[in-house]
Amino acid sequence: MTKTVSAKAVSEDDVQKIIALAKDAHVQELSLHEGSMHVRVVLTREAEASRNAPQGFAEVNNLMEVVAPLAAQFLPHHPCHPNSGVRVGQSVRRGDLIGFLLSGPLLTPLVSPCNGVISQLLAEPNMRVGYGTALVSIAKKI
Amino acid sequence: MIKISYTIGLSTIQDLGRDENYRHGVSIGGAMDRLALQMGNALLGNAKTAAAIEVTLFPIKFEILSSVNIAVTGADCAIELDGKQINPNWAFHAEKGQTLSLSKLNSGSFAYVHLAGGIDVPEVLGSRSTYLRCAFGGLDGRMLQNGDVIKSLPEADPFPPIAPGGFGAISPALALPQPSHASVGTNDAITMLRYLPAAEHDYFDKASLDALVTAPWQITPQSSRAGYRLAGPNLAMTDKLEMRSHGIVPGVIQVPPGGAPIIQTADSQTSGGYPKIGTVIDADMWRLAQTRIGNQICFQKTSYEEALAAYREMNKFIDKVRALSKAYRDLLK
Repeated sequence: MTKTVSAKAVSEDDVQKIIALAKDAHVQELSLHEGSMHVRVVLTREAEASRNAPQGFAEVNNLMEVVAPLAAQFLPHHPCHPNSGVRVGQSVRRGDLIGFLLSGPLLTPLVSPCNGVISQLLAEPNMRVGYGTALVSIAKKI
Repeated sequence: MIKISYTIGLSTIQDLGRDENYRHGVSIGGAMDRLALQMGNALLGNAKTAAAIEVTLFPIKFEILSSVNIAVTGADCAIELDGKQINPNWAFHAEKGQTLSLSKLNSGSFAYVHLAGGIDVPEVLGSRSTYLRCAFGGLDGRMLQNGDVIKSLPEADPFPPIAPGGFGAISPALALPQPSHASVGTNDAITMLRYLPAAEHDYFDKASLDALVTAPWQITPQSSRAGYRLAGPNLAMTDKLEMRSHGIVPGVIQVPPGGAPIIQTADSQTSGGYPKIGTVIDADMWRLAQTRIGNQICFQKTSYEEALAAYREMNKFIDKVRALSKAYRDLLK
């Protein structure tokens, strides 16, 4: 498979599309060259998991794992309300806020994809996390 | 479209104000916290000058008459949509029939409720801001009342309903922490305001100039959208100064004969005859607006270069919020 991509046009969206294309074509590795630019995309298991979880979550061993839909800093609570935030053992409902991602000044929500109980916080507070990193696991309530 | 279902008054429609007619004696007006106003517009992708509802007294409730993307910025208060908590400085989608309420203030004074597209009221002298003293602008030149229906303008870049959970930005107080004060140090309970010396600064006696930068000043109940009157040591001049009325702008610190300073704010009159000891820099006026009556402020002298740097830093923050909000909204499309 050969694809020419202008360096100026490569965005995070493009990278996600490339990962999706690579997976659909069963390609494990892609190398892109333009002038002095060289981008190598290796399809890892994490990338596959995130590709399968476009909503920012993945089901692993009967646990729902909420994953980072973008690279950012993980915050378990809102910066203005340090005493808020979910705790292990806490019941949550589908749509509840269970954390935040901070990217520059922008705060984006982590939303519970199901009714259940917080099983584990998989990332440390304030940790830099990459796209697809598992952050919170939820035991689904059936 | 939303309806005011409960208000106890004083809330108005405000934008960035009108400065084209200052020479005719028309106040600039506009939002008391211009940074919060710009932040809501940035989150929703509205024009920088779009108007919002400035909430002054809490609680206030709105009935959503047609589905709309909303942002609430400014004061940290309890925000609920149909009883579900919404974070401060947050953009979210509200469905027809839902109730948005703003109640208990945690910190700050003025909250802003923005509708995608901006609020649709006629422009008067180049602004949609309400000027209560002269009863024009906003909605019929008056404060909002129960039953008022507020419409929004068409969006320049229409955006589908914001996904559940919404999104937002960190508060300006976190993004732009106030600098340390020479006497007070770092104390978030006291608002630090940087000022530039004004024309009559050097006519004040040494004790007054010292007191200005060392004393904590309390915001008195004799404060309004026109100005904040302060309580503290009385400021005195070395000699009596005869002055004619002259132009003043928001931020000017006037000292009437009693010696208690008044900081001019959004609805400041356009001229005054009291001596001016300083002018609070533009980049700190939002901090003053969000300091509640009864709370304390302190002053710190700054330079023109530092004032410009602070102004640029503030604008850079807003530009970042606007750019990243657009990127996130595009990601959700």
